[in-house]
Amino acid sequence: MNPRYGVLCVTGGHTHQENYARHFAADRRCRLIALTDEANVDRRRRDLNERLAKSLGVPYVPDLDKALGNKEVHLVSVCAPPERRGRIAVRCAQARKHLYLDKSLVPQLREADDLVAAVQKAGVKSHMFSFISQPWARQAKRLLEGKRLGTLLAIHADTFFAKGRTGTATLGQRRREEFPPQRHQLVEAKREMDNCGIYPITLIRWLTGRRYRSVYCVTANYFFQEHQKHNVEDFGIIAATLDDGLPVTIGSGRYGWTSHPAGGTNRIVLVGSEQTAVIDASRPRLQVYTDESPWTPPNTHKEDPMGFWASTMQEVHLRPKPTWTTFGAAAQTDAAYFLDRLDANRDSEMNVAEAARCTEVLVAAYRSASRREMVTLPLAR
Amino acid sequence: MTTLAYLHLAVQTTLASKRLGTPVFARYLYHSPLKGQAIITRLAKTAAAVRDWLNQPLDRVLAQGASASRHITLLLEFRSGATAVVTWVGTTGRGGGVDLTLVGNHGALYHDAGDASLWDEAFTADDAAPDRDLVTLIERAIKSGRPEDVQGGKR
Repeated sequence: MNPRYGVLCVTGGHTHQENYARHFAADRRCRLIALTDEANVDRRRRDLNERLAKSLGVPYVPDLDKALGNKEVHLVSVCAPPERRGRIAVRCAQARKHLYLDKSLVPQLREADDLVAAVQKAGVKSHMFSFISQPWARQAKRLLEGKRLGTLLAIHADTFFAKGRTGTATLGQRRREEFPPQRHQLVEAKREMDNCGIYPITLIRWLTGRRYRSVYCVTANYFFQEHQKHNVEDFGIIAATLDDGLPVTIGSGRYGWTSHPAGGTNRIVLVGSEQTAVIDASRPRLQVYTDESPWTPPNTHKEDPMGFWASTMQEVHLRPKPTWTTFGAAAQTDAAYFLDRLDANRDSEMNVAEAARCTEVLVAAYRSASRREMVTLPLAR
Repeated sequence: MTTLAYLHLAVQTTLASKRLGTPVFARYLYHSPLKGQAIITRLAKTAAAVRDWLNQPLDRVLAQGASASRHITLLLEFRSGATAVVTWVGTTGRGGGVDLTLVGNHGALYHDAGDASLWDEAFTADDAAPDRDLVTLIERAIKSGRPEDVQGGKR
């Protein structure tokens, strides 16, 4: 089979491109063309870009516009940091390339609106990484569509990442949130309400097809001094209502390597008038206990203390946690899902318009947390 | 028959062991086909149990849902920054009907239907009287649908 899609990667090492590029490369429908970035990136970023390009066996083109001029490029995988992601994605859309975007979409509402307009004008397809292609998420969707739960009364969803060495934050005071949030992603810390919370936010939107109507949010620093030092939260909860009045709650955050037997809590509770379904990404599973040495966290990587990236975790010899073994149909990669949609000439269920609605929820959440009040959507433009 | 008191005692014992470090967040969802004032009574008693685990005075409550819709959720904020979500569902749940995650700054504990007895038998709750101030606060939060601050700072 000749590859149908030429893929250009924007931004390299120490981003999720380490995963996404390999997922595209592994798909017979794709051929990686090059890795690129904005021309004025700093030395560290350029080194990381060149390193990933080399490991992928593709050239590094240090000028985004030049790379976008390549006619063999059909789709762009964009993993630039949140603060640069919006303007880069707009340029890719203007070059009439399909967009595969890291999450969350962009930090600011204006950037989200600009990107939605650019994608619509260019007539390209777009997709933001999410959990919607996961088998357990599809199962939740089938349960709701099959009406087996009766009338849906509420949804409660948690996504907690079991990574990082916890117990170093100073406790005892309520976090004072800033608005608008300044930095979303640093070497040592990310805003976890955004980073983890985007998953349940998008999942609930996708499951119900409903828009968020009100948002109340509390952010916190419970676990890591790294987050506290940079004034970004490591935890957050949301109580929201959807436009039909449906109550939802969301918990999200990063709570340490040893707080969970696997990668972390990832579950959604669908409360129905007839019965409640608990969809847990770690079920069904085997539990395996042996005389092997117990799992221990990896050494802390100075360039990645929270365990964000695959390459750094490889460098500190992160071992997979062995106790739980989930089973079931193999999960399709999110990249393969998007390629399926392109093949079918259908837009993604998590296109930029959908993702932008979830950006609005996150912006509302941060505003709510800073003012300690409920925020009604849609937000004023 | 396993009573709710045994579950709560096990949680307290785990917290006392300091294995979780300082508790900072609880998500406590329970099923119970209650009616009338018993709904608020049980919510207040559950919120009080969570407050004791987190060992901080309650500062603010936001309520969602209503008795008539057989679902009420309380988002609880505590004075030193801990948070909790307490949810009542008016249908019968699996196992003991309690789904609990309690997170500390050094670890977490979990209890759900998969950890309950291998048959569906709900925990039996006690008949002790609830904290009247908490009942009043929860009723106020349900009525307003807005975040309600604790007045006087005693709760």
